[in-house]
Amino acid sequence: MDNPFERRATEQVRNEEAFLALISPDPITAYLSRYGSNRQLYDRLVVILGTPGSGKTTMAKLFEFPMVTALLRNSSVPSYRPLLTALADCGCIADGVPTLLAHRLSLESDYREIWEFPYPEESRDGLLKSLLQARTILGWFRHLTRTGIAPRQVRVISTGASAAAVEAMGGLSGEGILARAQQVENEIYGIVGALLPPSLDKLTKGATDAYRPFDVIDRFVVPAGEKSIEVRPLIILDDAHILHPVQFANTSRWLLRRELLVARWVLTRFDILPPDEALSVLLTAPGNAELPGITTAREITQITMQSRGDRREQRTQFRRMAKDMANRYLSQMPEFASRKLVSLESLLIDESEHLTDAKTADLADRVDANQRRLKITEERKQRLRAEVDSYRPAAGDLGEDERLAMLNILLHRYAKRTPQTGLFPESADPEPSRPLSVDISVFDAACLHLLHAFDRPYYFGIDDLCDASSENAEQFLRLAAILVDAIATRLIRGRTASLKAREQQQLLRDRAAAFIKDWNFPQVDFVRTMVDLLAQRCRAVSLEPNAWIGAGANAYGILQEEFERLSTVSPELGRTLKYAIAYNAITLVPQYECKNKVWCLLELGGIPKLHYGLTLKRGGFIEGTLDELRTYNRSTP
Amino acid sequence: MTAEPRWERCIVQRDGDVVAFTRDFLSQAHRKVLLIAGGGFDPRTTRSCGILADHVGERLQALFLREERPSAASELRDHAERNLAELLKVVPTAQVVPVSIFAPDHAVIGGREAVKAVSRMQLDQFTDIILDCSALSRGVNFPVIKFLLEVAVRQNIHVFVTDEPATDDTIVPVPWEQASNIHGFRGTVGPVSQVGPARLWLPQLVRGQNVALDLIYRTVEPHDVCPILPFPASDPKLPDWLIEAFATEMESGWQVDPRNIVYADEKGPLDLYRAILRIDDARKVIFESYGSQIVLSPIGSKLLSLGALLAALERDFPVVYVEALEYKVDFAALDRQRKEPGILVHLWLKGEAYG
Repeated sequence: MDNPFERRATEQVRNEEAFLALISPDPITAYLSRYGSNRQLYDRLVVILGTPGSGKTTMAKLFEFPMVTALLRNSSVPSYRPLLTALADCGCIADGVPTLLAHRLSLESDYREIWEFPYPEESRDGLLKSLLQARTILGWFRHLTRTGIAPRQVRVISTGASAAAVEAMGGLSGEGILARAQQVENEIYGIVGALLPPSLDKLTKGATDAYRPFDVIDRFVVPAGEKSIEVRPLIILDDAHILHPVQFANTSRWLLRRELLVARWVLTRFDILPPDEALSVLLTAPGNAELPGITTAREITQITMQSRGDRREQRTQFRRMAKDMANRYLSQMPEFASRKLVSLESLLIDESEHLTDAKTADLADRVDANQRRLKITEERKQRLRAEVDSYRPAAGDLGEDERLAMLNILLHRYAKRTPQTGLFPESADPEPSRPLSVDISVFDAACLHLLHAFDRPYYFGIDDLCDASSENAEQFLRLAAILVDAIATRLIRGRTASLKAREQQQLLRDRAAAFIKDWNFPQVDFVRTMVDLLAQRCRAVSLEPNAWIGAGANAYGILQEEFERLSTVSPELGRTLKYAIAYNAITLVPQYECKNKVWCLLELGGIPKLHYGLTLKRGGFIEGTLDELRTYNRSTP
Repeated sequence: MTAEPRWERCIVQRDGDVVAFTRDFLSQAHRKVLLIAGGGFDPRTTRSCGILADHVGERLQALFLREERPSAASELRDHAERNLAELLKVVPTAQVVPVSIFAPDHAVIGGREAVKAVSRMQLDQFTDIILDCSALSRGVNFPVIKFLLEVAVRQNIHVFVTDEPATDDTIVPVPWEQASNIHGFRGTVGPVSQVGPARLWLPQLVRGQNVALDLIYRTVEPHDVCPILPFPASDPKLPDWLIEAFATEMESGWQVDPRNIVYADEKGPLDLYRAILRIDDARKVIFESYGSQIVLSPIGSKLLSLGALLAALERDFPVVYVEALEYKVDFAALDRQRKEPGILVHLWLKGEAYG
């Protein structure tokens, strides 16, 4: 059975219409629209940072010229309208015609190879820039050809550059520019592909001659029906983290120049940055961060597709996008579409499964035993039970197992808040130092305790699936894939489609374990050990009988001021954290205010939370120090 | 009519014949032999060196490439040290060159570094150059073979490999997160993701390498996929196991037509070589106007991957792979299963045998 969730279907489809059918407009609206409305996406360098699978490439593909023309071609299709609106908000479409000629250039290893050549840095830099420009030109013309516009129909409006610069680019005619780009690309590709690069003095003239089309091109004039339109060229350098850090810095500096009229975006993973700069991107407010070697951050529009800023809003937004994406993917699967099952949300039962009578009786015995051990009177217990009974969760009624687990927590809290019972007679029933209240945190803690004590389902429903994805589209799809697979199997066997909570939990936790086992990125052993140690500590605190931390802990907090000294105190720890954050094992939550102090939280990612049985709710953290965290930075537990 | 493939009549010898060849041919007094081999943890590291030293004696010179990976476990380093000491005992004048597989920023540079190391040797002083692939990774031995074939004018170029598919299975690579072209194997029509022609990807399926192969798939973005399965194989059920292990990828990801499976003799590199060339010939006619591009990913047994190498050399096919960040080896299990060394195979690629 073909399961598009197993991989991102957007990576596979070649047809524009098929791609558009899978795309949700939400990320465009969330990340780009506000910059598009005031042209900040096109008049300066745009750097988009994000984790692998966060959707950078998908977003970029949508801006490519053939995609935009396909969207305009199908503008009467109702399901495409939100996308059209999103792109219009970004200034990519105006008056029903495209305003941009965008090409996404994936930076493969060829570009990084240039760094290995035995030439001075200036020469390597020149080769890299020439190759980037030549391939961009080829990409633009390929897109135009794909939409039926031949090179001879294309004309370039110059920035007013010198005649020599225009000539070096191949003139202003489409055919001339294309021919010259092909020549430059061939020359440099020959050097990149050689087993041993030629010595510097043997480099061909074609590869080393001045070639600066980005300095010359202002607009392309292309036919659109009966008339001609001007489109602004946009180059999107995807996966820029593949470059050597010095190449990345040099390229960024080059693209930073305001005199360039070509719009330019750089899409990169966050781990291209050195550890201190990578972490400072997340520690500082949006717009203030600096790239390596670049001090004019105001010259850059920086967009971070990594959790920061208003996290509640981000979670809501991600849930919306993920559900939309899941439904679009489901509708691609004949097994589901033919049965009109196109909402994943409705297929994941979002109801608790209560313990069996025997297990509930066992739990009741445990509660009674705790009551006796803590020397709490029956009357007090009944009063606490009445408090529990009066609590109403947001959805549904409390089951007996939940009531008992909540009561158990209250008994322990009561015991903590009363003086040592040894000083009083057995029948004493002192009032607690602080009144006991029953709220959502007690309920959440009770559910978590039931997971660990009785394996009662805790992770189920579409919202848990979204929250476990660390706001990462690819992680969401890979987690959802296993659930979709199971549902499809049920359909084939003629059973009801919906997955019960227990099945969902089992599948999700198995997959989380497999993900962690399959992690492969730099410093992975260190990251795995650190995650293991942090998760075990969080779990131990979360399972304290009085649940003092409420819903549970899933983060490690260090005072913000102390954390900011990380790069000087322990660069090795910074390196491990950089990769942990870049690959969603940990999320950095800076400037978190709690107990009149400002903390920086290292929150475990959704996958470790699932694997170690931690709450998906945010905010619960254990207090720590940088020194302690340094002891966790090792390759084996 | 297509010309006869270059290695259609390639000389391939096994075990006893290889020893006889070494004794009768390489031991001739006028011969000067250069052995290029791995100096790593692989248990096959020392075998060919021992045989050559026995027969060639002092006319044997050696270059041992020691692959360095940043995350290598200390146990592997210890094994490598022991193997290297043994190699140097046999060829005391040998050069040992460390080859960094990754740059500090984790770019893959092993192939380029290995070619650099080999190019520094005075190759023209040798009559015979032997590359022993047994303990070298593909990212290193493919570019070195290509380089030797390019620069050799009068020399004989030989490839030795100790064929132990079970050992290949026991040495488990931890894949790096990016797929890339093997150095020197980029093909002729530009970078893989940019090419226009119809791309056919021929991956060699290997147990436990789903992640690596999937990474390659995403990089290659092929129009069609024909997985290569070893058959006949040392384990007759291996093709079935592999189909089961790759069921998700083949159905949901790569969308492999069940008729598109290539079977190749696990012990016969020329079988795969010929199969790939036949496929290429057939596609050239079909995609005459559009263009056809075959992309290879030989990550399985060493011997079978040599077949893919020959095809890539002859037709300039791109070879895409995922470099190993480190290797996981259960040496106890390896020792248990490896009671006798595998078959030593010799391929004579260039030189006086071909006139």
